[in-house]
Amino acid sequence: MENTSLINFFRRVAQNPYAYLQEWQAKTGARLIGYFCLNTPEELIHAAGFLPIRITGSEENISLAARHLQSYSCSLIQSTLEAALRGKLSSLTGTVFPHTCDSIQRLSDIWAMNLSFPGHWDLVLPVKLHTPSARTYLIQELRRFKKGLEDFSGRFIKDEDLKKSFHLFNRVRSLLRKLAIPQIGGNYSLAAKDFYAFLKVSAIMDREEFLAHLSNFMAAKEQDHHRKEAATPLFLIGSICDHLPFFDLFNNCGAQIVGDDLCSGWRYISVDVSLSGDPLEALAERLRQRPLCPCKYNPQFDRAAELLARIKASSAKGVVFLLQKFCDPHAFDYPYLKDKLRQENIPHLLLEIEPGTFSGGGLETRLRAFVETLVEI
Amino acid sequence: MAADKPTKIPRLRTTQKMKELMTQYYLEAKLAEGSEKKIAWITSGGPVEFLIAADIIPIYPENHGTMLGASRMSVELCEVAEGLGYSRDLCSYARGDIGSVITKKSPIGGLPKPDFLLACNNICGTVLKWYQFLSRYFEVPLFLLDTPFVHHRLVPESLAYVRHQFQELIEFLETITGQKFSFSRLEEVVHLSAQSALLWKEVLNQCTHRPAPMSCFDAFINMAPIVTLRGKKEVVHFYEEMKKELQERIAQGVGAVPEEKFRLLWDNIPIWYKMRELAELFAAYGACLVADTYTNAWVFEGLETPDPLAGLALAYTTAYLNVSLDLMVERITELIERFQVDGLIIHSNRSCKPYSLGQYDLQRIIQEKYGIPGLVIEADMTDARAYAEAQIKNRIEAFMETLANRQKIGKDK
Repeated sequence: MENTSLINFFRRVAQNPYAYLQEWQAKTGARLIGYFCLNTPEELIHAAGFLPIRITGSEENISLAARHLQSYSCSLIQSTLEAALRGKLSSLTGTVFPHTCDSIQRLSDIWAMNLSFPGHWDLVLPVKLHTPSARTYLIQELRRFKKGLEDFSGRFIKDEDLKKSFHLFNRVRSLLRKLAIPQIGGNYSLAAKDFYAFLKVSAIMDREEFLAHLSNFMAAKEQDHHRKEAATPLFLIGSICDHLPFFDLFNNCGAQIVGDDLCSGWRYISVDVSLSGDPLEALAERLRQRPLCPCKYNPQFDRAAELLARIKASSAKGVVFLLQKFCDPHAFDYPYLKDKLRQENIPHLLLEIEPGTFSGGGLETRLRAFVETLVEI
Repeated sequence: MAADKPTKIPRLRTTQKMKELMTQYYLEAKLAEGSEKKIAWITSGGPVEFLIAADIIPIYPENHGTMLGASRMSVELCEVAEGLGYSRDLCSYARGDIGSVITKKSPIGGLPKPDFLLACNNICGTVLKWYQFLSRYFEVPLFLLDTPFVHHRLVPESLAYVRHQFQELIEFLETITGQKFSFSRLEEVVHLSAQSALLWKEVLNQCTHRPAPMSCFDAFINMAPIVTLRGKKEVVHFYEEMKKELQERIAQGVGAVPEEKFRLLWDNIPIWYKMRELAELFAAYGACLVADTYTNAWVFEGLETPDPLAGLALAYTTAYLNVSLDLMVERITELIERFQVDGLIIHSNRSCKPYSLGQYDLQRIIQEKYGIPGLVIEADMTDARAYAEAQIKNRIEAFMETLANRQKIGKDK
């Protein structure tokens, strides 16, 4: 596939993932397991013979979900429940809820009570990451999840199956890191909207197929070291943002994203699984080493310092906090991170995404004003 | 049936005792500030027994939060936190506390500074974020007791993990105090704590009587000692006296509500700044809130076991907000049966997602399975800006009319 047609193809998949999945499943008969949040070890699901599908927000008007969730729930949980209740996730065989925040935890209960997917797993990962007892528990919980998948599929997951999956997922991640925006280590520049579309597709599509597409794409693509000089470089901090039109706002305002700390961005691809040693221990290690999620506790890891280092290395002139309204863990970190930026004289802007249909108008006005102040610096 | 005049509600003598007990507690804690004695801030679901056994003064920002709410200082202090960038959508206990820590304002002039922090996430994930702020602000260590959430059934690995953390907590406390931790002292404290919890259950159980001698509004006010001081002798004495007073009321035929017509159950944390108004409004309809899910969360059972750490691990891991919705429905159903409840008042509390998300399903299940109607009130536990006075009053009035009609139909049959 030509690179331009591949970009168009990925845009279409990213725009309407569930329609793509339904079609693909009808063609291949594959079994799909949806999961929330990147704390889920996709590799385990894959080794069990399922295709792991990251469930992210969809642009739905909230009506059916409003009978189950209060209006003060975040966009992710409202819109995914809406999509599930409307039958849009019917291609999934089951869903995995890792313990992250209070809302995901209760969504799991509501999901189990009101929907009838054949499989449902709660992966109660520890919140602490730094102690030996937390590590022991984490490995036990991964083992319990593995056993749950085996019971469901009727197939034992061998260590070599797991390692094959690790290898595949590591290759996908490493290529995506190369593709990542130049300043965060990659050499290929791609419009932000398309880069995040690639990431979104990478968590949905059959990974072998995705890897083949991505390898061809990167072989054909000219390396591009030249950033658009006129564009203002910005760094993005937040949880999930897969409203792809959102990234157009940056283009429209003359800005370019040169780095991120998003669950649907760098945090997803930054760390690989080790291929040596016990596979479950390796998975546990990956979860422990990944850039810290605000839901997790690791006093040995300084999230602010790590972010500052990456922001400085990215040459960003400013930082945009992208908060999902009602996302407590990220909202709690915002004042602290913002103060750290202020101490370093790094300008920043807070944009909040409300549940329901995405509307860019107000956000664009604020972003434009912010970018204009940076141009003058 | 109209509720034009506020209905006088008899007060419990014990409430005055509770105020004295709490004043004494806060006074001692304030005096301890800067002394040899260590002070720890702890979450409401935290294992305070370890602190009391180590002779450390426990301080509960959440209890302080209820005071900020009841004294209507909360909004002003929340606004201070909002000024720092804390979203108005975050927990109002946390926002109020952050505001109070910074301004030192509160009905008791702020809380004494902590030497360390103990957060237990069996009530929510918010406590971690809140206590991380406190740890940065006061530059003191934070111990997180991580209690894995119970989905449908308890997993032995979770209990082992929690038990292991108790041992880590003990080592942590030994470093802080420089003293060897005494297990025999812990056993004594756990014994008192179990005794208090049992008495607390008996106190609440007095409301199974018709008419109920108190309402959940009395329980909300008088729960402070079981939350903050369980494990101390004074608490045992206090609840013995409270139980006696309630038994006297029962013997004299005195009810919390002059003419008890309806028995209701309250779900979620109280609306601290509207307690009196709500109590009077319900009383005017002859409705007594005879039970609630909140105060029952401090009825720890099976606390005392031959291995004290095992009993504590079980009690703190299976806390009401740390279990899945199906298990919450079971517990509410048990309360409905035990207290012979006619309807549910469900406070959908913007501040507390683990308590509130799922309430719509809970309301539906209880209605479908048991034919018991529920009313959802959208509000916030201490942020009065989230309270729509007229709308809530109308909804309560309409609900009470529904209940009256149901009762009439029931009698006519």
